[in-house]
Amino acid sequence: MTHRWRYLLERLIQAAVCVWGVSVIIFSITHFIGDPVQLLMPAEASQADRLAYQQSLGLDKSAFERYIIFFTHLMHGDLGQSYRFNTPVLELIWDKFPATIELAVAAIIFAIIVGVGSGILCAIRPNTWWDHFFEWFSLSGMAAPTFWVGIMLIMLFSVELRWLPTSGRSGMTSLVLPAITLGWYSTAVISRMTRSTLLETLDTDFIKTSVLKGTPSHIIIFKHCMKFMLPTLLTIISLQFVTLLAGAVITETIFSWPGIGRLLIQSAYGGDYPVVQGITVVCSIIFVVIQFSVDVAQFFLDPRIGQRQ
Amino acid sequence: MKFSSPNRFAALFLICALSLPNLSFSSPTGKLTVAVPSEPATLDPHKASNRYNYMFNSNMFEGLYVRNDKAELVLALAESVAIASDGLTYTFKLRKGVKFHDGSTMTADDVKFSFERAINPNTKNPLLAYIKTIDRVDIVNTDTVALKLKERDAIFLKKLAFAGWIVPKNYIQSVGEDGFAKKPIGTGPFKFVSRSINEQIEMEANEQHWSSVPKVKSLIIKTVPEDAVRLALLQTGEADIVAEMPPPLVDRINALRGVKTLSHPSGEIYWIVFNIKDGAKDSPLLNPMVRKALNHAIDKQSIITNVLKNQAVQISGALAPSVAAVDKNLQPYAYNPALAKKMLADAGYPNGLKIDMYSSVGRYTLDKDISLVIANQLKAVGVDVNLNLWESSKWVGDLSKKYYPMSYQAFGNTVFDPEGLMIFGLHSKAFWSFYKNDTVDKMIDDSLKITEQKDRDTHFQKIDKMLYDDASHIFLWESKILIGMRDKVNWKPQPGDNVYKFWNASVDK
Amino acid sequence: MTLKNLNLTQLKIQITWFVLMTFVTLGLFGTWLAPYDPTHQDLSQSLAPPFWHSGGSPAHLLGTAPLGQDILSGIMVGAQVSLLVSLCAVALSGLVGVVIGLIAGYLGGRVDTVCMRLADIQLSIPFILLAIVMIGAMGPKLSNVIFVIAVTNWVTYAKVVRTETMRLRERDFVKSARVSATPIGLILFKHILPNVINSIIVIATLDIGKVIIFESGLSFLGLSVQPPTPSWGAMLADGRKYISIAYWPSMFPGIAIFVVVLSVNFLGNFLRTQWDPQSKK
Repeated sequence: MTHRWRYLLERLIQAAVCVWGVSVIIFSITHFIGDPVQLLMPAEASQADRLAYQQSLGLDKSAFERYIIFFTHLMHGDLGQSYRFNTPVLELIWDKFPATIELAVAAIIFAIIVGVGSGILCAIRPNTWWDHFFEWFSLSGMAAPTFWVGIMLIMLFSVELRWLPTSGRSGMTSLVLPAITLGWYSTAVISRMTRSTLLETLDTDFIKTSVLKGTPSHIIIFKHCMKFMLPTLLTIISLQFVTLLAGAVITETIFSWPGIGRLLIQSAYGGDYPVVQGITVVCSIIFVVIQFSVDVAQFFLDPRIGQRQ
Repeated sequence: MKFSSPNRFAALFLICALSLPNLSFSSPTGKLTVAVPSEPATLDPHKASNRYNYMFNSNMFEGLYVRNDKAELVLALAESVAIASDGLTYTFKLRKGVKFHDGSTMTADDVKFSFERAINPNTKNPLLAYIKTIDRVDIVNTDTVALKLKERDAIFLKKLAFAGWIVPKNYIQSVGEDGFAKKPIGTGPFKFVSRSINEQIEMEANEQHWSSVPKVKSLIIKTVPEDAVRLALLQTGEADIVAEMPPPLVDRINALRGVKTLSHPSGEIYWIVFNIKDGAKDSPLLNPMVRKALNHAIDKQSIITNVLKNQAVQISGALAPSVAAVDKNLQPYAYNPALAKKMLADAGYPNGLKIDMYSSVGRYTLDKDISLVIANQLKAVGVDVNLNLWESSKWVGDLSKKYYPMSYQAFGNTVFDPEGLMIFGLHSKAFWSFYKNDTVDKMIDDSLKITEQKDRDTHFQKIDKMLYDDASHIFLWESKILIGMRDKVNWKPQPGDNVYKFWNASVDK
Repeated sequence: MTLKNLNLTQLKIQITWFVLMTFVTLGLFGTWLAPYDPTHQDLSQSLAPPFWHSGGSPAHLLGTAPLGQDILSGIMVGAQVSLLVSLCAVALSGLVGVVIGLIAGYLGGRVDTVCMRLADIQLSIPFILLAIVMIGAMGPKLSNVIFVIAVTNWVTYAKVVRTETMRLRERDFVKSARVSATPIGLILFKHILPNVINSIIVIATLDIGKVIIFESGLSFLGLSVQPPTPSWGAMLADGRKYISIAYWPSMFPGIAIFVVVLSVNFLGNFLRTQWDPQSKK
């Protein structure tokens, strides 16, 4: 048993090192993005004013000093103050995160329903018109640039048909277009994976026997096959969810969706270092936690993994 | 005469009417939604750094002087001003009975506190440059304040209208700096309701305002950076006014049902800036003949007509016609590629030149397209332009660090006086200026002492002519701002800047 | 399979082949085949519609862009950028990823842990951010765009190759090679690599499409090659401003991207079904 706890501890340390690594990298690279002093000072500010502003932001100190300050604050859970809005970064992130989560969840639900649904449909009727159509449909889903899809959807459904709002976050209807835009790619991936996994599963002896026994098809699919497919599907879906969070940047920009992605881009272009660093550190922590949980779950389910040397 | 009932009633009515001078007979109704490309940074008026801050400030706060919705300089929180003969003391008689949005009365204490806060180095006021001539503020009596300047300032009142916002002392001291930035309070026609960063700012009518109670009850300013989305908002009616629309869309917007376009001079001039301050001693751009040739090589009117769809007006020099008195006799450099080639040859470059040009992408309207056209036109006269198109924030950041021999830039209007452009954009000491000419510097320094408007006009025209003769820049145009507005909205933007004021806007049913 | 289905599959293969051949041809020879220089400006022809609309002419089959540039020429020459970026970025990231995957999978232990954590760090930094910073610092040149995409894209290859390598390591022919003291490099190259190459090719093929879309996303954010070099992503991004008055500056490059990526995806899918004995067609 101590062996297992040792593995856990090791993984935990690795996760911490990961987050630390991200913090170092993100800290160093943010300083290559623009120059907050020039971006936030108007044309009229003199050289002296700019220097004073630089000092007030602490940007006159050496990189090492600045990192130490950043890290110590990070350890206390303080992500600093936004240069642009003068509010604590943590507060900004807390304020905008729910919007992104809402969008990502809606997108993944869309992707699951349409993806798994179409995947099943294709698998039980392989090589028919349905199958070809959905293959084309899902592959094309992976072929259209997100921002293109988003703008086309706005033009069609908001402007021409007036069914849905054009932008902003204002209730369920405003969630539809952004969720479809964001979830488009994942729908395609999930659809393909469901189809191939289901086809594999349908080929196993267990299922073949069930068919011969005369078990109704809906029980075969939804009860038996799902059990086999669940682990693979869950891995794919969780990976896609992470991709979604990353891909939210473009979708949020197109739809003026007030989430983390949009805030990140604006802060990067606006020289708001603390916000960029804060968002990245938070996202990396989330990602590392997900990875860690998945690894630990796998470890406890399949003890062979921790034993390789 | 017997004081009969009807007469008594009439008398009573008269007395009531006379004692309620501020009663407006129709209270504010309706909602006005405005969509703009960006948003203010922090909401503290003494930390304002971008144009959307200025727009917010103009609707929320007031100064001793303000610009009204026709861009006229008018008294606001001051009833009158007396300027001492030495020009160093401005004594303001404050308007009585002005209330802050929380109900407290504005007093001389608030005025003193506001200015001291604005010029305090700890406040880090980005606009300090405009009011740093203030030495100190004295309270003469409960409604008189004296501002003492360190040196004469001919346009001090104009600067007050731009950067002299009055804030409530007691409120700020009780809620603190952060509290004030989160929930600001001023004396302006609109009150702050809420703000969602990256989304919108919501304001509502200040029904206790001393003169301009807004006609609309609710004002929402949405932050929508995407042009296509702003247009869509206008089409669906989710926005009533959308500002800063790209010029190529003017016909499209006009074609929409229930929508019209408005266009007004922006007060912003566009030019190609030559970096004459830095760079090699043998750079061809140091030769005025070369610069003149380049001015002749560009077909500015063609760009205005074809790329900007006439949302700009060509200018001869550096002054913007909507905010300065321009010499009408000064003709812009004519488009003459043959002459340009000849001048280049005469200047010693018969085989043309190679120059690097740096332009931003997305910082100014159609900056990328315009830079491409300019580079193309210069190529036609033998000037091989190596055009570097950089993302906006990188371009701004490197502006002060890298050597940009040529760059496409704009300079906007703040105080409706050429002094702004001269001091901050042309004087060799200015951070944002890349031009060096000792005579021009001296003339700009001299202009600070001239007080009579007519004399100032003449003086600035002289400077403009010098710049023109020296071909200090490639002079292009003053831009116009394109606005889309629903027909049911009654509102008119002022010329000269995009600091829009909404208290006279109304929405028909 | 019925006759109808057989023909359909054949048809798909033929169309895919045709599209990809056109893409490669344009990518290599586009500059010579294009009717105009795509950077040539003609302000009087600004936003002329495609020839089938009124106001359009056969001189500009697919219409013109805001500064009068011919869109068809832009698409033909722009293929170069898409081809170059996708092939180079995929090759580079594939190379890096495969090498890391082989080493991590074979050696296991600490090396493997370090590699995997490195991968985690890589994945948790948003690609967009990295792109903004790196392109911002190094400039929007083609080589930098390829580098940025390669740097962020290696992880998939590494993970897949690692898993496969770990599996193969336990196979008899590998074990016997180890026992006979064959150098590691040789083992990896001769015994393990040939067995993982099929998976790599499938991933790489699908990746080409992904990278073309990545590049267009970077163009959207202004981070890819700058004019006058035409690229489909840049044309799409530029045309966005004018969508409400002219669909053609964005639509046709968008269709080009779509058709090419779709074909590439079909190809990758096809290869997967051919080589992976487990999946059914």
